[in-house]
Amino acid sequence: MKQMPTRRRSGLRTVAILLSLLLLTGCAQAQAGQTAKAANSMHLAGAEVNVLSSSSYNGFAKVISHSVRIQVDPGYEIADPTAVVEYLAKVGWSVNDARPTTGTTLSFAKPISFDPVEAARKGGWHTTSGTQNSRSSLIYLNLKEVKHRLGTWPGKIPHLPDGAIVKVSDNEPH
Amino acid sequence: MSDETVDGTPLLVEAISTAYTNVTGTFAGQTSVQHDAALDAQAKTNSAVAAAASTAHSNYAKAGHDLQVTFSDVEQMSTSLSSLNRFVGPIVASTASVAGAPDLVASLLLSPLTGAAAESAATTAAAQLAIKLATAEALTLVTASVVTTYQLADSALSGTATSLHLGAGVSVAIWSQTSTMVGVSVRGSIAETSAVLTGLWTTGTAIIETARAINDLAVLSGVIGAVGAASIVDGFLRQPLDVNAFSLSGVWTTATEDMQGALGATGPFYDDILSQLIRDGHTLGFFADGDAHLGKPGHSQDWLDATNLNTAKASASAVLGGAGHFASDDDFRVLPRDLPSLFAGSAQIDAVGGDRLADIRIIDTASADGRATYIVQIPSTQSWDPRAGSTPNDLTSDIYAMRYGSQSALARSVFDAMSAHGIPTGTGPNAPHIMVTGFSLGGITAGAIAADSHGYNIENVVTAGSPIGSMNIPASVHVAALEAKEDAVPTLDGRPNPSSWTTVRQDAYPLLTEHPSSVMSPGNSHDANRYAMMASKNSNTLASSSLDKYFEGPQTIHDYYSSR
Repeated sequence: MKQMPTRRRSGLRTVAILLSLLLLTGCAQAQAGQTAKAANSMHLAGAEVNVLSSSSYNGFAKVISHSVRIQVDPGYEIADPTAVVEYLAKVGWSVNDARPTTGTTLSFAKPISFDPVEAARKGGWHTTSGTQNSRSSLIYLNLKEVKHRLGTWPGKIPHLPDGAIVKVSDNEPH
Repeated sequence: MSDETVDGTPLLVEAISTAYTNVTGTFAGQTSVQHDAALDAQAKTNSAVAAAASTAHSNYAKAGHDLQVTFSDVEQMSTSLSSLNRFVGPIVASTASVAGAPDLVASLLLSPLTGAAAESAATTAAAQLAIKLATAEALTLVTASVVTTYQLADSALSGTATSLHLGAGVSVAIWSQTSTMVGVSVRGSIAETSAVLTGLWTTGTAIIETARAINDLAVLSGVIGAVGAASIVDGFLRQPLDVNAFSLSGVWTTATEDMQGALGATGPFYDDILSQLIRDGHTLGFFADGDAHLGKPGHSQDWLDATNLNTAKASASAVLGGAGHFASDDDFRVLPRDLPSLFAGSAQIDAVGGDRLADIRIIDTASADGRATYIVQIPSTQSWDPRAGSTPNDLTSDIYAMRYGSQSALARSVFDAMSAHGIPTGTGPNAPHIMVTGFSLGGITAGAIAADSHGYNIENVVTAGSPIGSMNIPASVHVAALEAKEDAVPTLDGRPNPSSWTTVRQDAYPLLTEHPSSVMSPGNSHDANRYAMMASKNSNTLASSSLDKYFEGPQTIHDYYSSR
């Protein structure tokens, strides 16, 4: 059999590998969302948001969870808790490093002046449960409900609505 | 690679070939599906494979050789299996065509009852044969992939080591689905070989040693793969001939039982096989257990809080249902008030440690008799990489714990944690009550520690999905072991647990977050939350294990973190 030139063979191989990669990655569709690192480097006026991810094995199954923690800067406060809950849930769902296999925990650093569970329920999260300790107030959003409400993973990078976090002086009655 | 065969290898090849000739012969003699005959043939296959593996290894051991076969031997196995497929294929086609034959369809109009029965029988026969063909194909693929690996290994030695990944990919894919044992012993090891080879082949000796190690691992995994696949075939064959009564979970149950029997058939050579695996792994740079030391977690308290809460909530949702929750301390660590919450804690320490470190949890309380009471909870496997990483609860630890018991880095870390916690040794009347517990590797290590307690008063061992049946645990220790029938991991000991233990061996339970009819398999039944479900469904049986003293009273949780 006639041998193909080495360079041509190499080129064909490269094309084949690239085509395979395209097929494997869903026909070259751009990956939505953001990495946890990118999420953690986002600047938010009046608060710091961190994605806390964990990865482990339960038997042979990979367990991935993304928790999102918010700490409001001194001199600021959360004026619209429901909008912040929705925002944080979307931040967690937008992290595209690995598909989460558990629900999302949202952690609010104390002190806060509202009940996160109530804020979540007001926003339509029905399965939310909450707890707290001396450091934080936390709520857990069930994976099934997260999928149902936020759609295809990874979700789009969310934007916090204006007025959700404000300077304390801005929010005081005039 | 040499074309020579060492004494013993022909036995292995011949036995497997003969066994499959028997199966082929059985099929040839069937004018209709004869279930018993097929079962008998399959049993012969299983016992022949297991006996051949044992005999071959015995012969090698006597001759001072390691288990080896040549390329041509493996190729012969593959050829004989392909022949079986060629034989079964036409039977499937002809039987399936009967089910749709016009005469048969017409007979349904004349005699609906008889016609329906005939069609059902024909369809069932076709389904059974199709299953046999599919599983035989899987077996062929397993063997063929070993051949491919051999071919590529040859090439690797002559200059194209990177190609080895291609051969390994097929076998790893099959083995991942076929049996846990194969996954444990080989997964990744061959896949990583090319990189290791690149570093090792600078001298002729290194090349020879590497080739030998690849040979051993490939053959070992090929034999195990063959046994695993034969077990799965048997699982299918033992299913009822009524399609409506067919249960895939039942197939896995039978397959895992067969695996246990086949491994048990290796007898005293089981330890030799593990030793060989470790030795060959060392040649390739794998399974370097080394030492581990206690240290800080390296995570922020915020991360620990979020991870503990997330895991506890996920477990509660799966085990208790939507509104259920486990009691926890101020750091959201689950307080073990019963066995389900104990296993929810297992999932928690696995999540906290991940593949960076082992989270060894000690829960202390005081029992009603005034003596100190400790639960020592050990994490499960968190890295399946054959190269030992930072966490001591990894694949390396699995293999070491099965071979060397309490001599693994993880077990030594557990003793370090017990010592750091101030748990006193001694077994007098005032000695503390101590329970060691864990899921999977955690349970294996718990059993190993109970068998070699270093003077600690271990009174209870509680395991889930752990192969500890062969461990020499003193009779004074109460052992409660949970084993799902579809879970292959607890069968890796090759024998059932002693009758004096409390063993709950049942079908794996679907989680409350799953559909109740979800199929349980070796892939999904090995799950801490499923074992929590099993514990909750068997509280009466497990009550005899005198565990209440560990779950009552105020509890304090301490986490100790260990890394290599």
